[in-house]
Amino acid sequence: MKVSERLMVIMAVAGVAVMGTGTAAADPQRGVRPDKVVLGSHTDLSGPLAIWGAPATNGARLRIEEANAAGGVHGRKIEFLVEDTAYQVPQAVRATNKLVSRDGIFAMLLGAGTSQSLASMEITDKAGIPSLFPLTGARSMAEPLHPLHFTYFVSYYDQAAGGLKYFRKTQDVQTVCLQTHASDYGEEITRGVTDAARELGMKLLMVGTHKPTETDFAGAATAIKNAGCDLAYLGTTTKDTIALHTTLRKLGFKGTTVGNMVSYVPIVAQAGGMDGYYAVTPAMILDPKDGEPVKKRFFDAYRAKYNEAPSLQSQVGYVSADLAIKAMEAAGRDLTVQRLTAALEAVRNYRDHFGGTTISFGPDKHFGGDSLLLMQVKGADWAMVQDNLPY
Amino acid sequence: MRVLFKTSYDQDIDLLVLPGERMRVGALIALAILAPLLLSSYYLSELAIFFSFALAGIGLMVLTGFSGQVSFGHAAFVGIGAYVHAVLVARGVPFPLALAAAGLLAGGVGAALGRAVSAMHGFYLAIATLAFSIVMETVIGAMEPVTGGHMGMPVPGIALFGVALEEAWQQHYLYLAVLLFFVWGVANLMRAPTGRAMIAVRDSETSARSLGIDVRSAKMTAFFVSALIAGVAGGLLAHQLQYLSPETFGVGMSLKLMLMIVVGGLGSISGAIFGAVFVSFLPNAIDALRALMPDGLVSQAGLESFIFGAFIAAFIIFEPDGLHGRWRKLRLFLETYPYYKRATFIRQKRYLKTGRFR
Repeated sequence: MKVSERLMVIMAVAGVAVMGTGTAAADPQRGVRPDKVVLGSHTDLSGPLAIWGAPATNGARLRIEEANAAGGVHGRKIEFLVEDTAYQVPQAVRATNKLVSRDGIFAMLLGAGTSQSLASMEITDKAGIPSLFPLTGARSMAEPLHPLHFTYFVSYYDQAAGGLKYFRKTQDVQTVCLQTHASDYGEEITRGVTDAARELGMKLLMVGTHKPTETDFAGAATAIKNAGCDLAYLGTTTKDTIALHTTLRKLGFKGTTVGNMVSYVPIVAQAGGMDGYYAVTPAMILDPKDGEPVKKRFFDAYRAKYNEAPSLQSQVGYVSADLAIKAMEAAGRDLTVQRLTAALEAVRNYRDHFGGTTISFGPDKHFGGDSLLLMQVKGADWAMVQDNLPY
Repeated sequence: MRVLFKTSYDQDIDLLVLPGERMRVGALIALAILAPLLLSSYYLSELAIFFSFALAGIGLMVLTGFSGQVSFGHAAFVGIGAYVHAVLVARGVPFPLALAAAGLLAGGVGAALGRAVSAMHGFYLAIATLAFSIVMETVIGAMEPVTGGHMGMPVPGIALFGVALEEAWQQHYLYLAVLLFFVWGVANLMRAPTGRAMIAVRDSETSARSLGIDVRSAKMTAFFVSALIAGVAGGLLAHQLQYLSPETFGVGMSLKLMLMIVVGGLGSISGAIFGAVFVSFLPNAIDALRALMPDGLVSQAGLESFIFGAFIAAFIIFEPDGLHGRWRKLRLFLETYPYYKRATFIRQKRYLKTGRFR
């Protein structure tokens, strides 16, 4: 009796104390202090997506340090807190909890992974924290429209649509085969290809899936060849793109092979036998030697800081941070979430100077890219085939 | 050594025999009850994840620690529990019913698996459970209409009897209550005939059989109870993750659970709790340590996994009994000083050579 009474009192006190702290911490704006603004990121620095997470974080950090060296945004230095999730959802949730409750971030920048970002957004949405430019091309990052969600990429779904539309027009492709991952990434692409094929009146002859870790594609390639389609869409990553494309060519497959931005990396172009492979992408790998000072400056600064050449992912990180900084500048000295999102929605025809497409946002368009690029492997290098590819 | 004078028959059924033990466990529970007063909501959410993992660890402890059946696929049961719970709650089933259903379904699948692998030992059992978990991950990914496939599904919030539990401290008490209930339940189970039969099967199947124990049904029961607890843990974990995807419940989580009970100490409930503390809070400790490390090391990707691995290797080499074993030795050392002898803890396992059917 006595014990349970005491327990009740303790619990009541605990409840009051917790609720008390909850209301007392009513800042003018979470994460914005007179001298600094705090941005957070849950990303993959040590897991399977580290090839995206690490360079993107480096690129963003480079841009943020430039901004801080130039005096910050409206006199506020930007603090960029990065948590490693190793591409695991539980880690992403813990990282987000830490960034939101302990560090009190103003916005989440460049979260890595689809499920990881969706889990993280469940928390940030409740706290009213914007989620900016996650490192995934999933449609769910910007659709359905949410006032706090912004993404840089045109989705994998629309990338597939853009690619198929182009080849329908230029090569009169009638039949399509799809080979992709048995994962969220693969499901997204399958939906994109299926819908685009139906809309364009093309026949989707087969959909093959494999595990991301698979290395042997003789079976999958034979199935594609036997299906006899005009175009094979590869919803793959790096290694499996190379293996699939080369196996298909060895088997004598004559059709076109197309992939998306994930396979748009130098390694794919440099692998032997990749000539003729297409990739649809919303951003372009910069060429530091083409004379434009912006590109060279970024290239040299990145190389000096991190001791390696920047990749497409570094550019994405740099551009994302640049967009966030531009939006914070436009939002003015009284930085609030509403002002930031309004400033982002006002971005029109932003050019990244690295050769990507223009970026525009609007009240009902929360993904950046206005169009796509079609690239093709020519002699161990990527060459542009079509600028301003619609989707 | 302390000699216990028993003054009543009731004392024979005490779960905690020594007064010191009672003090320590009581203090721990009191601390857990007071936690919302002392911690911010961030640490409370960390604690909730810790409770979920501790519960899953207790589930695996029943199977591996008490019944001697190794499982490298326990994350599959956590996953089944998480998905069943999330799907049911999303369709409007009340929280307690959904959690019970999650546990029972995971338990049922566990019992079926237990029946299938009841004649397997060692490597074969390890591989069978591992394969089961990989198959389960694929099945969850393929059941798109129900589970959202690889895209995953969001988990609705907790509502208990019509009251939404949104604050971290409310969830804290709910999770604590479920964890304590299962700790109490497993402690009782382990001294009941069912639990004794499991321990007998672990120590020697030959002896167990000659004592009239149905080895197969003992194993099936162990799988059922173990998977049930893991399923409930999954249901709790789902609310903390807020978003489920099949990859979450892959081999990585199975290994984490296994490491948890090995580092904590096989064969004791406190081992599972110790292990969960270790696995859950080591990343935070490493994070805090980063401030003291040289610059070159701090930015090194994969530092965390390296330290993690180093700890586990050190445990397996120097303290196979885990944290719980170390704690028992330390206590005995203090209690019997200066007469402590190492030989006390060397386990006599003469029967092992004859006790094999493999």
